[in-house]
Amino acid sequence: MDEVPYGALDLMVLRTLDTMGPQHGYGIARRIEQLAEGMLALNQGTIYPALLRLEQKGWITSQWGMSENNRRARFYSITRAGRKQLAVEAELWARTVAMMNRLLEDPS
Amino acid sequence: VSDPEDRLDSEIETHLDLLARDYESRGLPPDEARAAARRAFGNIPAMKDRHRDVRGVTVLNDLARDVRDTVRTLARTPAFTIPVVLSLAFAMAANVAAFSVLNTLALRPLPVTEPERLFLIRYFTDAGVTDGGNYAWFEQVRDRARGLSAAFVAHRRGNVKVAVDNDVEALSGLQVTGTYFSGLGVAPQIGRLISAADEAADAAVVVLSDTYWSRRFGRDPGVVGRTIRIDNRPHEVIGVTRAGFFGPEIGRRVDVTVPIDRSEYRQGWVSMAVVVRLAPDVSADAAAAELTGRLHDFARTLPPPVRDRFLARRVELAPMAHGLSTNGSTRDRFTRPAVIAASLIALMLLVATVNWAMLLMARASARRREAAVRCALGATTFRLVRQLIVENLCLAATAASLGLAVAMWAVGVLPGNGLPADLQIESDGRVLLFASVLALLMGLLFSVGPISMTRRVGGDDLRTASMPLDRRGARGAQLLVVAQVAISVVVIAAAGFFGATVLSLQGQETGFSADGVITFSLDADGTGLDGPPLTALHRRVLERLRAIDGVQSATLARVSPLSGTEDGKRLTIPGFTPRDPDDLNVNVNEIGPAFFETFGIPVLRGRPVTADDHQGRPQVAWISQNAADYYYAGRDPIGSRIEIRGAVTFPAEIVGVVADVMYDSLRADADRMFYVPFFQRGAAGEYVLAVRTTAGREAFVMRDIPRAVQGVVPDVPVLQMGTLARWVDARAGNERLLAAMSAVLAALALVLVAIGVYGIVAYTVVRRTTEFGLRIALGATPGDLMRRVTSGTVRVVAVGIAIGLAVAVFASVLVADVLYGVQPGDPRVYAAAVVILVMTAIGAAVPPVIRAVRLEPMAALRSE
Repeated sequence: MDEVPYGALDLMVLRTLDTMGPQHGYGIARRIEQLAEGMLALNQGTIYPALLRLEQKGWITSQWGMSENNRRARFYSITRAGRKQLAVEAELWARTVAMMNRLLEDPS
Repeated sequence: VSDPEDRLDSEIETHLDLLARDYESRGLPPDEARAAARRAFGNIPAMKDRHRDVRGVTVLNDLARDVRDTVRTLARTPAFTIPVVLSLAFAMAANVAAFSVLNTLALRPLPVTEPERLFLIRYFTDAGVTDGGNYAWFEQVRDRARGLSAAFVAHRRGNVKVAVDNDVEALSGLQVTGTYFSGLGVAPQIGRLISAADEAADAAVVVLSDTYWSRRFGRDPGVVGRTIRIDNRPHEVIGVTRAGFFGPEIGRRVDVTVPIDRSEYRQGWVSMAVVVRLAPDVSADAAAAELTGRLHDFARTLPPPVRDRFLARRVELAPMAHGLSTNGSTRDRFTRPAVIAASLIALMLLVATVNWAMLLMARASARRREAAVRCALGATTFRLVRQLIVENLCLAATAASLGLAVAMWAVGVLPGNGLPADLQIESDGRVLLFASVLALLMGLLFSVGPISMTRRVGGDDLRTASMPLDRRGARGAQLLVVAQVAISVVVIAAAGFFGATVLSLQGQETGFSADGVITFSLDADGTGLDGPPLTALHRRVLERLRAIDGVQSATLARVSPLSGTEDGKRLTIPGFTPRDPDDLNVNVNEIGPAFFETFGIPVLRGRPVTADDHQGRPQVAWISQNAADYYYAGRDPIGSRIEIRGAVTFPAEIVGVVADVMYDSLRADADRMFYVPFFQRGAAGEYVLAVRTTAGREAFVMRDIPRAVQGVVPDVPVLQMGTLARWVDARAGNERLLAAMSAVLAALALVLVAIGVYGIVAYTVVRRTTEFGLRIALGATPGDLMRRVTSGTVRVVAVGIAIGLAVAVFASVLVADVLYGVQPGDPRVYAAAVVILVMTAIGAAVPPVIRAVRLEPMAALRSE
């Protein structure tokens, strides 16, 4: 299993919140793990510093709510600025991947 | 929930709960599900640290938490914390108090406007640098010199007699020009201060000091406008200076300030202080050159012989930011002893700090397991070190605040107890800064040992962390013992040197016996009498004194032993050819009946002075032994007729030889003295009166003396009454204080050395128990074992002694001028210091060595 590449976690979180709507930390972590299908070694705890960082940048907001086990949980949702950032980062990521692919496939 | 820390905790809880439920739903039993959730979540403390990093408040937040943790840890171990804090607080208090004294004596400028621009006018002459002046010269300076923004004169008048209503007391007075207060840039507290107009009008006005106003008038503002009598002249009180302003000299209080008597100082040249304030942008050199020009202008107005002397002079400007520093001033006499005392006290703090650093190291080694556990839980070495530093700074800061509080109290008590009562010690920002820096240094010094150990713990794992201190840790402890031994050698040597000095001073043959003698003086000027009536008054006072119960004899004299001497008188001695211009300028004391008896001065040959030596009888004189040896060199002085010259020249026949007596310093040789009877000369000026009491009656007699005097002259105050022993004490007071301090310090240092040596040896025995057991089993002799146990310690002590001796030799040269009767290099002192130290070390090593020698081989081997 692999480490999460640098910068990828932010993108994953933003994408998750964009597609699934408001989520608490556990929901986000579970979603990312499901998508990774066992390819990622994610210490679930590491998403909390990431969430805080995104919140400080104004890309997500949070508020208290009730979780499915009837516990108080912090629910995170993406902001307009977050969506813009997601578009920028997705674009950047796509270009990086394309560039890497060309580099690695280049036979010469 | 607003605290981000709590918010995160709550999120983690929910997360773990949900995760565990998820695992449970997949079939794991609840407790395994919980554990699996924790594993999947990862290292919580590490994550929290990163969370805090993101929050960006890490440093502050962590610091607050470290402080909280520390307070909790320290509060949990009061048996450790309280002695550390108390002993350090004590050492801090002593340091802060010593620094406050030094600050007041030498560092703090006068509390006036821009003191650094004030300068005292002094003169370079062939014979060195002098000061002084008169009013005419001051006028030149004030009115003619360029580059000055002010010039004023402050002339001290010793005791002035101040009468408020009918209550008379002797106070310290100052005469000033009208430019004095404005030149210093000080403002009144109430009323106004002396102005140029007061000086021009020769106004009889007076300004009171804050201290005197508080003491005598209870801070009553109504005092302005009242009339008080100063030296029998009515003066109007016009104002009071501010609290904290003590006058132009540190350590000398001024109670009343009056305008200068211009007529008195127009002629002649007296030791008045002429002070200038430089204008902005004028250098001291430029001003000195300008003033030299004015001095030469002034010289041209003088008659020829004086003119030439003054034309040869150059003005030098001495900085006065720290007040006037006259010969024998408080600053002069106390600064050096204060520096030495402060150094000794700093050593004491060092001793205490080193000692506690050792204990902290032991504690850190005991806490290595805790440190290793915290490392394993994700704490970084940096965090551990930070925690340690915070802990030590907390200890140091607590000790410092306590110490500061004690010091504040102490500096209020010191003046009058070892320090001059007039010294106002005030704490300012500099003292606070000193205390803070000291606390910081102390905290960091504490941290060095434990940190070096914790850094190694970083590499430790849980398994090895509980093992005893390794060799390198023991090396740290050894270094600290080396430091302790070295410091001990220094303070023991200091105690030796100062102790020897005090013994020499006390053993000094003073030539008189101070026990039971009380001296005082009368305000003779205040009687308004002179000549025969004043003489008669003194005779009546002596009669009253003799009548007091408990008084054995009463006398009077111009000067009493150890109160200092007056200017000499010129003598003609038949058969003596002067070898030195000063030879015929000798001290002549005028003495009353029973003088030698009252002061316990042995009459070696001839007869003592009696009541029969009055006017109309043949004029007689006595001579001290050293004067007899010097002037008569083997001839018999008795019967010789000398001539004492002065306003009235008179002959006298020597009728006795008396023992040499110290009049001035305990350190100098006794002065050569001549004595003549008071009642043959008649009274002029002030005299010292003295009574010898029966043992134990001093207090009663002192109570009765004012009554006896007032029975003769009702309104004349008794001044400076006290035992003669106070002069003796005062002359060796600084030395005794230093000796006592270094002795206490030496004892303390020795105890600490003993503990340190014991610790090292005992530790060696514990660490190598198995080895020693084996050696005993293999037939090692006790001597052999002893060598093995102590070899390391011997090295430590030897190195400490070598370092200490080097420092002590160097330091003793620095204090050479305070020593008396012992040379700074005296090998006996060092030898004694080394012997005392070695004996202490041996004594401390004995119990663990005995334990090693008595080891049961089998038990020792099993202990592995």
